[in-house]
Amino acid sequence: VLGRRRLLAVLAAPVAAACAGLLGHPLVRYLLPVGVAPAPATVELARSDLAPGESRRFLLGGRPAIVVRTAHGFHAFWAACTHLGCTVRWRRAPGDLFCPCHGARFDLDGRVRGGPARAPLAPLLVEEDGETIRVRSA
Amino acid sequence: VSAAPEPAREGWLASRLGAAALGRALATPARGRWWWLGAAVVVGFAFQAASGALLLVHYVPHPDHAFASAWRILWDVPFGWAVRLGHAQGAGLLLALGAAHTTVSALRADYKAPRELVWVCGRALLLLGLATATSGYVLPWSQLSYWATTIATAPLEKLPGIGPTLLALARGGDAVGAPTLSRAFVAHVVVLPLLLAAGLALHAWLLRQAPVPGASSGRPALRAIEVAMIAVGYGTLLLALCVFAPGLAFPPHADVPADPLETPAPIRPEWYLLWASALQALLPERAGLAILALLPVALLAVPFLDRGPVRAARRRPLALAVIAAVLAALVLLTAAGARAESGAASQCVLCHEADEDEFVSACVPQWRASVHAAAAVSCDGCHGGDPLAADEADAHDPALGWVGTPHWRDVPALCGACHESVSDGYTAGRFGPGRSAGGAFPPTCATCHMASGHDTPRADAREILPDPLPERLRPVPELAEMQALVLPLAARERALGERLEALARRALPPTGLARERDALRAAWTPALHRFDPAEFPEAVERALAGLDALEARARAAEAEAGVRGRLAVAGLGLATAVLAGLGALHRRVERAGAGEDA
Repeated sequence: VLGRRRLLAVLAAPVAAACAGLLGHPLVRYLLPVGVAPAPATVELARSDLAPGESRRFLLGGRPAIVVRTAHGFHAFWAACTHLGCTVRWRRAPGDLFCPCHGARFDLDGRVRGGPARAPLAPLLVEEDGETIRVRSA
Repeated sequence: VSAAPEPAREGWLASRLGAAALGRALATPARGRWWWLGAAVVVGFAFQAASGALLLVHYVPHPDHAFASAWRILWDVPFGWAVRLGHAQGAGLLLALGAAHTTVSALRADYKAPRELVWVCGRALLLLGLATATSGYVLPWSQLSYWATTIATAPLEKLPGIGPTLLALARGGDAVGAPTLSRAFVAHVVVLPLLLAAGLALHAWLLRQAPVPGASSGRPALRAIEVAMIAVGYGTLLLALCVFAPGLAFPPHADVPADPLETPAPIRPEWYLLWASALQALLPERAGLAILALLPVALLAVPFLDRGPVRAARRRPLALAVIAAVLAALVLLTAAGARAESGAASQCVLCHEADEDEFVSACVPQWRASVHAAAAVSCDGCHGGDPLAADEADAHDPALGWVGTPHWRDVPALCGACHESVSDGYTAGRFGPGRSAGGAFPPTCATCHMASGHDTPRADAREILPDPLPERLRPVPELAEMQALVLPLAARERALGERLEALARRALPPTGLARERDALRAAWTPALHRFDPAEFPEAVERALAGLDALEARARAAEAEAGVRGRLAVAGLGLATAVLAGLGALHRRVERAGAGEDA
């Protein structure tokens, strides 16, 4: 026969778990960043600031980004390496975006060219308006 | 008829505080041979709490102010150096003591029934200590803080299911930034210390319930003296660390403010996490993560895995072998993590080094001796290709960016990927694109800086612009004029550098002067590389004025170093005297106790 004490003992664990869940859910929600999806951000650059073969790194909505100018136009990416998040830099001679932390390399389409990264760099939108270049997040 | 003995009288304050009862509740009933290790951990925690509270008086937890305020504590606040260095070194010392405590407990099988919870609580405290140290690493907001946090938190995202949520919880956003600093601050200053304090109390309580087998009670007076000796000994060791090895708390990049746009290389974690980074580099990504996630669980589960009744070490060969293997793996991985070059360098170096053709292999020792090896710039940084490929054709695949020896036209841009300001100066100057006289092969970076091969020296003007100029540089008339200005300036820079190195060897953390000297150099070297004699004298004049100011500050730092050194020696002497006094008192009380027992 399941006595009162035994019943309470059996119920104690699930009740405690339910309470923890009820309290834990709002706690985790509170701790998660507000507005996880970043708001669209734009940075304007002067075309003359960037000669062919050169690059610029800048913060876009608080995150590092990079734009590279080649003979074929402008290429812009979020600059965080997809391996562990270090900021990539442009190397003109090999023509790649290089991560100084563990040697990951990406081509100008953002594809992995070598090193430990597995995912491509996320591209940014580039709009050319006369002398002004606008780089914006999607 | 003899009178009944009077009960011992308590003092006014002690009787109202219930000091005797409190002492009985706090004291462990009995202690084993290694009890002092646990006691030293408690002393260390108390020191960290006190020094951390003092740091909070001046520290500002905001990305715009954190680095400056942490630096101000070190160099401007009276005795701030002792507090900050002590706190930083104390974290490492505390973790080392915790690890030693764990090792001894494992060797002595102190986790066996009925002491399972003592072990679980103690090891949970070790893991919490690790988390506390790691969160504290973020707070100075240096390049090291920023990038170590970025690299350490990034793998969380790869965990299946909850990974992105965990990463968002840790960083407070997509990238490391102000929310990360706030979270680390709250965790390091409030949440984790509270958990540690509660955990220590629980550990002490559990220890009372299940003392170490074979432990003996000590006299309260002896115990008080021993605790005092442990506290003084801990303080002495910490002071010695601060005085003789201040650099331990300031690895490379710890004296440069955080910059999300510039990842320095190499970034290495603190010594107590080197093994983890080496493990991750060694194994496939998910396997490394899985092992790192399972290790804490395995550590906590030890009492439930080894449940046999045998405690004697010599009768537990399997357990001893496992402990020895784990310790050996930790030591080897830590050593591997400490000397890890950029992972990208490895395969190129392995193949070229083994090649019998001297032309092919000579570049490896040259590169190792160069400033590029020191900065972890690997072969593919200039030559492209796949540095991880073991096959020659794959490694040298043009589709993977292999360029062989870079064309001279590409060299400035190649070097400019890192040496941006110098490259900009060169490109805008006399030998920039399209301005080279008569289309001849002009001097490029490699002409001066790689004159003898891959052993690119630190930029020493005596080597780059020797007096007289070598034949290959004589066709550049501007260089002769500049040489007259550069050599004296470089000599003063070199002298300042030697003073700063001497300062770094004394009882001082980095002064920041080396960083400012580098900034000064970065201001005048672009003018040199524009090869414009009209502009250069003014740049040199500004640099000389800057050097005057830095030299004055170096003199002040030298005076400060002298004061700190004398204080440290006095402190060490005093601590030794106190230890000796406590030792004598201990022996006296022990003899008196033995006499009473007899």
